[in-house]
Amino acid sequence: MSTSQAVFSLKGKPLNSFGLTKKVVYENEEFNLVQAALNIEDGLEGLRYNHVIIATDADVDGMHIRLLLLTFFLQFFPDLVKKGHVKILQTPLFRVRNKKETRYCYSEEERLQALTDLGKNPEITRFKGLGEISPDEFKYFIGEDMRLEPVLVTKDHSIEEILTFYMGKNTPDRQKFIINNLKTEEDLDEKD
Amino acid sequence: MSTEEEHSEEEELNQDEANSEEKEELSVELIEVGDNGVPGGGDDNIVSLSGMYEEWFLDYASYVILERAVPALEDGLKPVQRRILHSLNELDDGRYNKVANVIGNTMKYHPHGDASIGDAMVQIGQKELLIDCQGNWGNTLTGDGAAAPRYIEARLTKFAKHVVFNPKTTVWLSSYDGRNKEPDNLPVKFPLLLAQGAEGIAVGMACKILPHNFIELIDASISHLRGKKVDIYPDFPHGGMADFTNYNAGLRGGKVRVRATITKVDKKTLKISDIPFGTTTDTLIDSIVKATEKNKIKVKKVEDNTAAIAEIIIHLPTGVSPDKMIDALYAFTNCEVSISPNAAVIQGGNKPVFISVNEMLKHSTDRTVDLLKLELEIRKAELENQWHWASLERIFIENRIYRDIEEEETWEGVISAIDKGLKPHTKHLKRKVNEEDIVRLTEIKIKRISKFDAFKADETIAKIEEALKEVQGYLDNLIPFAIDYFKDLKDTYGEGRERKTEIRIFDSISAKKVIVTNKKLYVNREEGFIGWTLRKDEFISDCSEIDDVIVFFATGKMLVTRVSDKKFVGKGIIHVSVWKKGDKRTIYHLIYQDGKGGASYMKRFDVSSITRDKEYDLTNGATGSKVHYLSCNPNGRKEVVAVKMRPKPNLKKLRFDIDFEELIIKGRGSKGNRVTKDMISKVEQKEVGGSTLAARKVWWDDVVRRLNDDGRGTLLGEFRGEDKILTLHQSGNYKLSGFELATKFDHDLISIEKWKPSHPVAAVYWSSVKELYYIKRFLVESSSKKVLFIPEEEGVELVVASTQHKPKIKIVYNKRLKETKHLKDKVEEVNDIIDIKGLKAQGNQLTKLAVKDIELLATVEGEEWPVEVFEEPIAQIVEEQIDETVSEELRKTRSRRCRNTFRRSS
Repeated sequence: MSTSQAVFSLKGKPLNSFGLTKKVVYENEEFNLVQAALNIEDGLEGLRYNHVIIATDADVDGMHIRLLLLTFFLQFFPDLVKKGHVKILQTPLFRVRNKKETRYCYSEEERLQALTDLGKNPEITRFKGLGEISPDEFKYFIGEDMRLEPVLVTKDHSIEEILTFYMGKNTPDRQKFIINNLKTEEDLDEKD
Repeated sequence: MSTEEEHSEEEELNQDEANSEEKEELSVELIEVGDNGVPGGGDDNIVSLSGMYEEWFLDYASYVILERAVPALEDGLKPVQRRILHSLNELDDGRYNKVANVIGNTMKYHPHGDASIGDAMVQIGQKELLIDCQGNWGNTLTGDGAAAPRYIEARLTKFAKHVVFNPKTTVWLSSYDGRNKEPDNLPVKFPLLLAQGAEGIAVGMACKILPHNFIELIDASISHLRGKKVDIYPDFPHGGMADFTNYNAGLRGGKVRVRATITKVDKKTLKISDIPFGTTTDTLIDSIVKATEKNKIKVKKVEDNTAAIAEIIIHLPTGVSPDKMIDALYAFTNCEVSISPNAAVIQGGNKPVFISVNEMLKHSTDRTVDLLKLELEIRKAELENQWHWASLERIFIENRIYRDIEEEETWEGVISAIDKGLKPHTKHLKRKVNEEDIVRLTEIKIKRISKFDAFKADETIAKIEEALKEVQGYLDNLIPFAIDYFKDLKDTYGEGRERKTEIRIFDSISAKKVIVTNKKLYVNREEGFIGWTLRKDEFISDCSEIDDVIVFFATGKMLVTRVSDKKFVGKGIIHVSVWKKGDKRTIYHLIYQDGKGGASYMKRFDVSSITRDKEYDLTNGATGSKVHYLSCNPNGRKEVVAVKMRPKPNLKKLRFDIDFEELIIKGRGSKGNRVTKDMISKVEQKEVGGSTLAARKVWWDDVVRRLNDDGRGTLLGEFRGEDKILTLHQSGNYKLSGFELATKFDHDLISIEKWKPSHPVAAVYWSSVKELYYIKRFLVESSSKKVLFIPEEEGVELVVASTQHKPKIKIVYNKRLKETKHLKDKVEEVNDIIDIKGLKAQGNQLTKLAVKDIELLATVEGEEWPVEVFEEPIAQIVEEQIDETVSEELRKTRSRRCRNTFRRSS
C-alpha cells in the first residue's frame, strides 16, 4: 500500500530539546537533517511525507528515544503532531512459531492466543531491539499490516505542561511521582 | 577516572549529551501513503499524549533507577557490577582471565554493550579491593585509561572470594533469557558500598556515595555490634586533606571540602603531592592554567612528574609569596573541590531509599550477622546429616543388619528388613530413619563392611559431634562470633589500608586576600568616576578585579562599592582607596562642618564592616554639611593638623593645632568632638608619626594550623616590626617566620612561639648508627631558611626539643636488660648537664646505658623565663620505644603525639 518509504537513521540518542530555542535545530546536526529531510523549515506546506513514524527498540532506551524525539517535534513543529502526522511504529514483542506457522505477537494476549493456536512447544523469541529482527521479517512490520500508534494531542493537558513535567528540571513533585509509580521488572513482565 | 562511574551507563532525561548503548538501528520512518489511508492496524486503544509520555517516562525512569544507576542497599552493587563479579567468580580457576572474556561472559546476564561493561569493570578494578588486576588498568592519578580489554587480565582477590560469594546463601534468579542463573544479591559480608563509594545519575534522582576507610568501616561495624553509636567519614584513595564538618552523614545537602596537599619546596616552588578526590593531575593542571589565564593567580611554569605518586611542581614568578599562592590555589583552582554527597540506594530491589551512611553501615553489619547465622545454620544441618549417616552406618555394620536381607527376595522386603533390624538401635538418633537412608545403606560396598573399624567410626562421630558443638557455640554467641569475623577481616586484609585523607577543619580563604592585583585603580574626582580603564585620570593604586573601593565625598558621605572598568559613584570625590573588610588598622581622621554655618566637629574612626553600595553620612546629617579635612591613616599613624580660622572680630586664636592621637577611635556614626563653633578657613596636615595602635597580637589556631588575630587558639604574643615566630620541627629543623597571618607551617611542627633571640633551645637526639643519645643546647641564629640543628647523618632522629627556661628530662632505663635492670629513672636538669654551644655542635652523650624512654618534664612552677609576660608553651614529648630502625609508622605516631601534647599544654 505504501507508495514510497524512506528511512532516516538516527545516530544515538538525540538531544533533549526541551527549553531550548529554535537555534538548536540549526546547530544540532541531527535535528537539522531531520528538518531538511521532512522539508518543514518553512511550515507544513512542504512536508514531504504524510506519516512520520518513530521506530525504536521496544526496550527502555527505546522509550527514552521516543520521549526525546517527540519532545523535539512538539517543541519546534507542534503542528506536525497536532495534524496527526507523527506515529509510533509498533514492533512485535514475540515471535511464536512451530514448523508450520510463524506468528508475531504485539502483546501478551496475542502471545497466549498464539500458544493455544500453535499447540505444544512452539519456539518463542522475544524481540527487544530492532536489530534482533531479520530483514525479511522486518518487511512485514512496515508493510501492509504495519501497526501504528498515532500520537494524539488531546485537551486534557497542555503540551507545555506535559513537557515541563517530564522533560524539564527535576522537581520534588516529579521525584515523588517516579518513586510512587516505579515499575519493577515483574510489573514489566506482567505487562508484556 | 574512578568518580566518573558508569559514564556510559547512565543518563538523565534532560541531560544534554544523552549517549546510547546500542542504538544504531533506530530510525524514523518517513512513509508516503495515499491521501486517505491511515496505514496499519486498529486504533482501538487510543492513548493520549500525556498517557504516552507517562508510560514511556516511567518505563525508562524505573529502569535507570532500579537497574542501572543506583546501587542496592543489600550488597552495595549496581546490576552491572554484580554481574561482572558473578562472572569473575564463575570463571575463577585461580588464574587470570582476559577481561574481554569476562565481559563476554557477563553479557550472558547483562544484555548491554561490551564497552559499558568493560568501563564498569575497570572502575571496580581501579578501586583495588575486589579485582586483582594484571596489565595496564590505567592511572587514576593522571586519568589515563586502561588498555583494551583484550590486553588486560583479571581475577578475584582473596578478599573478594572471602566476603562476596557463597553459593549456599545466595538467592538465584533466572537470567534475562532464562538460560542461566544469576544472583539476586551477592551475600556480601562487608560494607562494600561504603568502602568503594558509588556514583550514578538516574532520572529524578542521583546517587553519590563517597568511599570510606576500610579499617574504620570494620571498626564501626564492630562498634555497632557492641551497641555503640557509629559515625563514619569518607577517605579518598588519593589522600589529601578534607573537611567533613558538613558531611551530613552522606545525605543530600551535605558538603565535603577536599584539598590537595601543597608544600613549599623553596621560595619559588610549590609541590602538590596529593590531589583531591574526583580530580586528576590533568584536570588539576588545567584548572591552574585557566586561573592563570584569568589573571587570578600568577604562575611561571607547571610540571607534572606524576607516575606512581602524584607530583605537580609549580614554579612561581619572583615576587609572589608562596604562602599566599597556596591559599590562592585553594581559592581559584581545583586544588580545593567541594563535593556534594547524595546517598541513595535501592532496598529490596524495588524501593529507592535515602538513608545516611551510618544507617547503611548498620544495615550492612546486620545483614552480615544474618548471613553468618545462615552459614552456621547450613553448616550445622550438614554436620547433623553427616552425624546421622555416620551413626546409621555404624549401627548397620556393627549389628550386621546387612545379614537380615539375605533371605529377602523382594526390594520391599529388603527395605523393611533393614528398617526392622535398625529399629532397636536408633533411639539416640536425632531424626527418624527414612527410606532414603535405607536405600543409601543398601549401597554400601562390601569392602567398606569388611574393613569397618568400630574405633575409627567412633572417632569420626566424635569429631562430628565436636564440630557440631563448636557451630552451636557460635550460633549461641552470634554477636561475639560476628565481631571475631570482622576482627579477622581487619587483621587479614587491613594492612596498607590505613586512612589516607587527613581530616581537618579548613579556614575559609578570602578570595580577595589572595587574588593577584593585576588592575590599576583610577579616579576622576570631578566627574565622579572610578575604574581601571580611566587611564587618563588620576592613578590611585593597584587593585584586583574583585576588590572593593571606599569613596569619600566632599559632602561627608561615604560609599563602598565593587571596582569595575568604569563606574559612576558620585561627583565631588575627596578620597578613594581599596577597602578591605574587617580592617581595623586603617583609621580615618575627619573634620567637618555641621550644616551651613554650623559648628565644626572632628572624629577618628575605622570602617571595618559596611553594606556595599549603601551611602553613609559621616556628618551629623544637617543639610549643607561639608568636609574640611579627611585623611586615611594606615596602621593608625599619628597625625597633627593645623587649623586656620576665618578672621572675625573678637576671634583671638586664628591658628591652632589638633593632635588626632588624643582623640579616641570611635565608630563611623559618631558625631565627634566639637572643634570650634566658628568658621574654619583651612586645615592642613602638619606632621605624621608612628603607629598609635597596639602591637599586633597573634594567636595560633592548632585546629586549622594557621595564625590569626581573632583570639582563636594560643596567644603567641604581641608582634611588631621584625619580630619573628620560632617553630621547632620533628625533622630536627627550626624555622623563623614572619607574623603575617597567611604564613603556612609544615606538618611536623612540634612547637611554635614568639622568637626571643636570647632563649636557647635544648634538644635530645638519637643516633641509630652510634646507638647513643646526645644532648645539646644552642641559640637560634637568624635565618630565613629552615635550619637543621641535629647532625645531618643517617639514622639521626630528634627525640625531644624545648625552649623552656629550665627544662628537665626524665631518663627511663630499659628494664629488660641486665645492666640497667635495677636503675631508677633519672631526672636531669638540662641546664646543669650541658652548656650553650654552637648551633652546629654535636653535643654530649646523654648516657651510655640502654634507655627506654626520654621524657621532657613540664616546667615546675616559677621556673619560666623571667621578665616574660607571656607564658611559654611547654612541649612534652614521650618516646614509646626507641628501636634501631624507627619505622615510618612510629615516626608518624610520634609527631602526632607531639602535636597533641602541644595542644594540651597550650
